[in-house]
Amino acid sequence: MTRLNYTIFLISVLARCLFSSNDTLLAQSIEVQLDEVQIMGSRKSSYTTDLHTVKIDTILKTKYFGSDLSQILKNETNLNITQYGGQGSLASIRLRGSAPSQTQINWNGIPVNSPTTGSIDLSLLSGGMADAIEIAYGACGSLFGNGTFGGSINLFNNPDWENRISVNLAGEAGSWNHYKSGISLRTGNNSWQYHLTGLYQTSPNTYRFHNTFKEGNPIEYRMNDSMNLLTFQQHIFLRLPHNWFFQYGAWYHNRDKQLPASMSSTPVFTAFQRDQSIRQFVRATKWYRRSSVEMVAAYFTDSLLYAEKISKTDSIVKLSGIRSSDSYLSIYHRWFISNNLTLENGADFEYQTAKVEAYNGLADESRGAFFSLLKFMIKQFSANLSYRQVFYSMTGPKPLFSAAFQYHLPVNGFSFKGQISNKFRFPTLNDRFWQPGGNPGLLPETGIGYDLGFVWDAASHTKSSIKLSSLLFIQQINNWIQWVPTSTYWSPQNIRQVKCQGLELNITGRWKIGTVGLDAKTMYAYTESFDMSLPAAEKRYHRQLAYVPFHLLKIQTGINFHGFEATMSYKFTGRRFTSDDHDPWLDLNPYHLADFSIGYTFLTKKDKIILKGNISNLFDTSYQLIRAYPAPGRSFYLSINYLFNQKISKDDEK
Amino acid sequence: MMRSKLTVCLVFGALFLASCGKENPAGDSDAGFLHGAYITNEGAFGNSNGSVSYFDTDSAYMINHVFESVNGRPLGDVVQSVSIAGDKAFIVVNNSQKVEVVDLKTFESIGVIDGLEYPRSFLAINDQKGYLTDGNFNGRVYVIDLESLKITDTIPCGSGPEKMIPYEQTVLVANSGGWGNDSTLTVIDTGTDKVSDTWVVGMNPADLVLDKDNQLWILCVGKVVWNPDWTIGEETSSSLVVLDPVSGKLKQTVNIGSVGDFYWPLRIGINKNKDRIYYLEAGGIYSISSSGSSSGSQPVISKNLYGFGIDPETDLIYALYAPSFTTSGWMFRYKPDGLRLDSLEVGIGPSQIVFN
Repeated sequence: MTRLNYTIFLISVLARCLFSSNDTLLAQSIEVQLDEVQIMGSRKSSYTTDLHTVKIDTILKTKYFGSDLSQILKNETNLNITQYGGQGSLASIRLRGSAPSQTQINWNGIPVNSPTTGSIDLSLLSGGMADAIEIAYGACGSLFGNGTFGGSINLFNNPDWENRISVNLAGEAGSWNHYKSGISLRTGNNSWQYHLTGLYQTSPNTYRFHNTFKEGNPIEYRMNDSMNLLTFQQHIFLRLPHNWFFQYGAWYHNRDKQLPASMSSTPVFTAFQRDQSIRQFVRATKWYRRSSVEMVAAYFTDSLLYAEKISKTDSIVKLSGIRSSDSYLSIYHRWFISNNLTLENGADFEYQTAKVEAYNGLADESRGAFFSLLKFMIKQFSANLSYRQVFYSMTGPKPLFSAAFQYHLPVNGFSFKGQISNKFRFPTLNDRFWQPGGNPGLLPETGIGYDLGFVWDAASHTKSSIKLSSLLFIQQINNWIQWVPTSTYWSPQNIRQVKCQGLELNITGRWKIGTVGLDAKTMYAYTESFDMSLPAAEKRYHRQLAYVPFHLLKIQTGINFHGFEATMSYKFTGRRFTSDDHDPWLDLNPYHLADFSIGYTFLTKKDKIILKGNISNLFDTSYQLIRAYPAPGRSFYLSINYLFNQKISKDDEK
Repeated sequence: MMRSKLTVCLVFGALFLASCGKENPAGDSDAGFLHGAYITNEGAFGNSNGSVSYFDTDSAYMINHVFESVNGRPLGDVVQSVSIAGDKAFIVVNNSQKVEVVDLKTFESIGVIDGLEYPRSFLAINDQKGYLTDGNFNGRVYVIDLESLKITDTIPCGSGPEKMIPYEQTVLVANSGGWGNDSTLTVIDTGTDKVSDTWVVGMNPADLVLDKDNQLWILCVGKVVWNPDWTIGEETSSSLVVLDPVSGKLKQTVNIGSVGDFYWPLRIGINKNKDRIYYLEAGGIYSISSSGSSSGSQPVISKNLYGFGIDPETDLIYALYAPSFTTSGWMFRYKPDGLRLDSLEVGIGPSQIVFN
């Protein structure tokens, strides 16, 4: 156990001893009116209130228990997720036309993006273990920090102080010998809460697909794509005397994955990958009469073992590995100057290390920042101004600013919102230290983004509600880092200038007709992401970036009554280019997908049993998210959730 | 089959209209794709976007993605080489572990050689059989029956067998070392399909040509030993080795490039008169007289290139340029003195070119 691990462990034990002697209800002692999430959530959760956000929360415990983040985002949003095949395959997000490394992924406010690549495989993140997922489109660099050109995706674990004990036992079986089982235990009282979640999954991914690389497009079955996953998370939440709040989180994740060949190759076993990570953090918040101080410390370690049988006949196996760590410290002070004015000041520090064979030893990097945020609100108008100064061992970005506003019209439910913000992204350790080719002189990517939109939230009541939001965005990304061939090897360079712009439209509605509940959701995004780097770009100029479709549409409808529920969803993804110069022979065709699920909830006095059946890719559409890697065809899943000692709502009883 | 023929007609028709009066020999003669240059565009590893471009050397007309156009499906991952045998082309697709065989009159696929591991290049020996190099560490040459397209025999050779060249009743195989090191040529008797000799030439021979005096010029990559941390532990210079193809006796060695330049040359070519040898090194295409003992310090063509070829009819130099592996490459044509004539777009990662 490292010293930091030991310190975090000691703090958690000490805090647990302290809580038992006092039942002070911290939140109730605060004079300033804040909602529960703001008090208990991370600093970043409060920032998102001024941004265009999509939240996924109430369905996570049951519908997506243990599912990885890529599955949840693919099913619940219209975001552009690319994936190399079945469950557990490498999955990335290209939010608002950006690159995967340009979207920041946070676990309880702490970035989990890899120090080596800058991005993270979404299939390695158990989104279903979170209590809420929040997508903040175009998050500001001055508030969120590094790598937010696309935005920020935030996973939160929150306490339910009214909970005493509840257990969720979940199991799922599906096509192609897919099995998943997990347990979630939550216990505590008004002063402490403890969450433990564990999951085991095995997915051979032997799904059926049409091989479009072979004469006649024969039907084949995927081989060497299996995945085994074991993961645990625990969280301790404490309310302590003298208005202290503590949260401790730990996450162990181990996934073994075969890496299949592309459709054009002979499907022999070639490669295997093991990803392991241990993530721990502790958050301490002290509340004063008109202010608060929050401190966060985190230590994440990741390892990747790659094995490739490079010769079928010679039985020679090539092994390589990557180990990386990320230490994170943050402190910030929030001062409620008046009921209308809040000032926040803070600093964060990050130290990253990685040991990669190609680095010729251990590489490390440290970076820090000071930031300030001023929020004010006058009747229907609210705004914030923020500033960040970054400190970086290499040439860092200039000071970053952002300004955002929201104005609620006197007309019922209408509001306008807008934002202007600087963004940046540091070069990754691979960009700087990879040998040969690493470029220590790289500049950070920088840019500026503009958002303008409106929200119409029709007065909701018990019978129905409807919400419409629309937003236009424009974003410039300068010094985009790309690996290009030089005379003798590949090297990253700040060569691209990219302009992203588009429209996001969301409509959600809920209706209650007697005992029948209906809900509908439509999400549409039009995204242009053009390479504007002349003259080096040659034929790339003003062309849409690879794997960014112009059109993305998702429509989802649901009905529930007397414990029954059914959901139908439809998704359209437009044509995607796979080469920078749009070679039409290499394009990926548009596709339409439909999913259907049906379920029934059995209620007892305190328990719930939820049975659910799901058909994924209902019409057996043949499509690819990454060229030459087939996505699964029609698949069937059956799941059961036994929720012991759950709160039964009136809606449940109906 | 009917659909393929229809596709061929449509493709030719579209090309005819597109050329707008410009003669398109591929579309209106029985020759089809029999005469011209064939560019192998590797594509990006793992992306299955390799292709073959056909260039009509008479009309200067380029057709990209010719296999996909005719056969209605992608070619595969890492298109390694093309070899011509009569009216057939053998397209070696390395990371798809196959060889696509096409009829050059139409470019229609007429079969696939599969069951391979790491195929590199093909050489037709006669109308009945051909040789195919395969393997990384313990290499082999497969004997292929050209009628059935099946492997009929396996001839063991050195590590990483790469290019082959016929000489009288033998075939000389350059054992490039694969992911390790080797320094030999394997001599195969084409009558018996057996190894008749093994000659030590230079570290990691990759490509070879015969000059007008029947001297064998071998491009040797040089030895590279990687440390576990992927730093270079040991490296020797790249070289051109001149050999007597009858006795295997070494005549001379010319060092090229420099140690530590992170460049390991793979391509060699020869002009029409077979008295000037060209090779690709760091900085461009260099040349050396077949009677010379040292190469020029300045490249004939100064550009960072990925491959090249010499037209055996015109002596024009066809240089292949890959700006990145996410966008199309280019073919530049030069006169022998290095004067650039024109440029044409090809597929992703153009690496080799053969003429027929």
